[in-house]
Amino acid sequence: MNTPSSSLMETVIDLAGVSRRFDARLALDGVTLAVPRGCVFGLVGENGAGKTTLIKHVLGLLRPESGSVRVFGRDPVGDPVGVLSRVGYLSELRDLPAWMRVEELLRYSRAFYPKWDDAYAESLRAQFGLDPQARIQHLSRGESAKAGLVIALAHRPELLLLDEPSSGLDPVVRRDILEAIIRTVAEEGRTVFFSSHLLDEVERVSDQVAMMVEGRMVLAGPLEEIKLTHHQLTLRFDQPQAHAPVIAGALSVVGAGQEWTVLCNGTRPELVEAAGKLGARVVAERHPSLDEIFVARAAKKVPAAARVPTHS
Amino acid sequence: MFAPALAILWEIWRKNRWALLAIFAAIPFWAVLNRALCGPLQPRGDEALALVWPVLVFLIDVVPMWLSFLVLAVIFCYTEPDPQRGHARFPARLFVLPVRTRVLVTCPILYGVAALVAVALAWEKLVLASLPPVEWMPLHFLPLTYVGSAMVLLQATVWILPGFPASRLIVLGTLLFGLTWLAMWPLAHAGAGDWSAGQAAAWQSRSTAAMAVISALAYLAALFAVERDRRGVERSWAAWRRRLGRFRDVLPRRRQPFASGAGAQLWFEWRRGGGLLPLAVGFFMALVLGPIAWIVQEVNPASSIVIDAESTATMLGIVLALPLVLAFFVGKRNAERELTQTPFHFIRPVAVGELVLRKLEMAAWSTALAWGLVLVVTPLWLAWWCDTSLLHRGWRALATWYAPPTRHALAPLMLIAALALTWRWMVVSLYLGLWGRAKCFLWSVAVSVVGAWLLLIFTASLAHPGKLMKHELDILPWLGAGLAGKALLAGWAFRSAHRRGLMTARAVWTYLGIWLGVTLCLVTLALILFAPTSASKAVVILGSTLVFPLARIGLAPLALAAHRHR
Repeated sequence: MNTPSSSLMETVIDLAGVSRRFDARLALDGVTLAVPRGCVFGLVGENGAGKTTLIKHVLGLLRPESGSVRVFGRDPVGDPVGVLSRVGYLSELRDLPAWMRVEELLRYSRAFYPKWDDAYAESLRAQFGLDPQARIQHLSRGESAKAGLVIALAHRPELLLLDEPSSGLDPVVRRDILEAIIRTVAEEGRTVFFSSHLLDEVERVSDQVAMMVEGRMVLAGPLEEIKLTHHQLTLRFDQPQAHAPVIAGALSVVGAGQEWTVLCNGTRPELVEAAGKLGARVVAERHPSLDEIFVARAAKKVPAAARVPTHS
Repeated sequence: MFAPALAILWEIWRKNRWALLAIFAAIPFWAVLNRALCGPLQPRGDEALALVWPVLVFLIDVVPMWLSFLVLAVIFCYTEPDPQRGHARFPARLFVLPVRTRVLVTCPILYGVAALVAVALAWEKLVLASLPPVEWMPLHFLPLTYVGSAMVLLQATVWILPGFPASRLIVLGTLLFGLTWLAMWPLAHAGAGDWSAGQAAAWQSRSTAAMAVISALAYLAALFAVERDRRGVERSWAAWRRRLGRFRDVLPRRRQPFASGAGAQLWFEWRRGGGLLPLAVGFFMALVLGPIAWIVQEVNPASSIVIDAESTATMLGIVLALPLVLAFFVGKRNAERELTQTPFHFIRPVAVGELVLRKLEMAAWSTALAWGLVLVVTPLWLAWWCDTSLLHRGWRALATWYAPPTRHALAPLMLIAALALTWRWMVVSLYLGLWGRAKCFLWSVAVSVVGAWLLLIFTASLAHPGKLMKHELDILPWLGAGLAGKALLAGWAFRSAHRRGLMTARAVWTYLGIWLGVTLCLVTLALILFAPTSASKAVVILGSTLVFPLARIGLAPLALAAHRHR
């Protein structure tokens, strides 16, 4: 596991060794994470990896069994009002009250946040094309997400927590509006922490990324640093190889005969040296995408017999 | 055909097997219980027991029978919640199966009718038939056509009106009332000896035929509605609903921003369920004071529009009991709704104590409005339509029993007691709902229903004056233990809530003050009403002290905090 790079910047979210179990299933397994102020932090992972559980711990909706959670230096369970007044949250569930009208939702939410910006709320509502008289129950899933986004943003929170924000949004809104909002929030010095399945979106927007697999944090750090420390090398052997070559730091090895493609974690000279020791030459190399890194890391837990090569 | 039919049957069984097994096991158990108890309990020359016998039979056998019908009705309604629309409807997931709509509709209807008829028959043959005769017993040997028709009407109404939870209740209540009248009217007349055997048989045949036609029409309507639902056809009333929505838009409603989070939260709680109690009271009051009073009244030859004196007194008693009885159900419903809190409810920056306070405040407003409705409408009804001579006689008798200061205190004390007891039922289960554990909540509902039932049986069994005294003194230690337990639990709950910052000291002392004031009123009222006939004032005082909730209010913030931060 890569621990988050130590930073002198102020951390907004600080999780230390957080574990949480639901019946027999370990949903979070000693998760440690620090999210610095002013960054866009993307959390990726498969279904059931523990992303939503982690976000609920940050909100104080779940109490850690072990470890500690601090948001703005406060315990979200002990001081929910102090924490939640500075947080904007978009739930994955789209759980806005079905009986409310959009206008009522805005008026109701406004009452709880002294920093609520009416003009901003109205501009977001207009930008999303939400009818103020429409009832939530008559909105589509995407429209419901937009309504949730308006109330999460309109009080200009110091921390914006988005759980699968893209779910249900059409590509135009996702790419042109959501991403613009996220960047704007970050440029104002505020923090965005979001989970997503859409790795290309995470890659486009995030400054820092964390990856969860089965409740464990397997990777976390600045996006550029992660990409620079992962390499995809194509190795050519003089003789056909009966078995996949074993290289330290390899996350996935696919190929056959003389040519094998290896996705690995480490510095380039170390990897080239390791390949040379096996009698192979590096004939091609590139930095893999976040998607490729994620697939390789997630596939490591899958039994070898069941693994399907992603590259030929 | 058979595979989908069996699959639907299996699904209903798998989902409700414990409830169904409990009902199937309860009937033989009751049959054995009756046979064991009939001998010792049967009145043999004991006048007091002869008087109370019908009440005991009703409580011991008829109430559980109707409860089992209610559980079956809930099971075979065959609906599922639609989270997006926020109401229960015919399971839309079945629409994508390669099965004809008539199979999807017919199977649950057939199963429901078969189950209800079988259970009604089993109660009749195994339980009720083994009892010594009671005057009104024939009314509970329910015609099977009535039982089956009631199930079809229930299912049809629930499936046809999915988006109208309140209207659904009103329509269903009206239809079942009409059906019951249709089924029971010939039975009542035959039982009263108004008709010859031939007349009674002819009327019963007509009634049975009418119920069969009603069932067939309800089935066709359900089939039509589900078929349209499956094809995504907008129902004609959906357009009406939109028009109604547009009409509502022009009605005056709050458009100003809320002055505070507390105001916004109170509005939120009110919109979630504050209007339910006043609405339910209004509906049932209209039903009782209108058609029911009209049907049960003895026709007065002098004036055909005046409700006779006895019916007036009966209907007045029912109307005054309505807020209390309905608050029990509305309170359970409101508590049940708290079980499914989503993150939306918990991520507002509002303290737990504040959230609980707004729920309690909403219940208070709801109670006040329901009683306001009763206190405004009932006097008008009495003044315009009723023969109030019996009530006047009662008032004069009251005046002879109580001296002026006590007599003058009675009305305000009764009003406070009525408000307090209604509010009690609205909030007494709140802490269980706020805790968010569905199984615990279901168990608590079961325990409270069984507890209330046993309490009624116990109260009915206290008919004999000698026995009454003995029993009263018997329960004194239990009441004392109950009060001690209540005080200890309340002390712990309020102390914990305060120490954890969930309740301010001011909120704790304010509620303790309210509890003390209301309890003093209840004790005073109970002493005025019951002390002259009671063996022990201590029993009256202790019993009254247990009524108004204390510990359960203290537990509410702790429960909500446990739910909010699981």
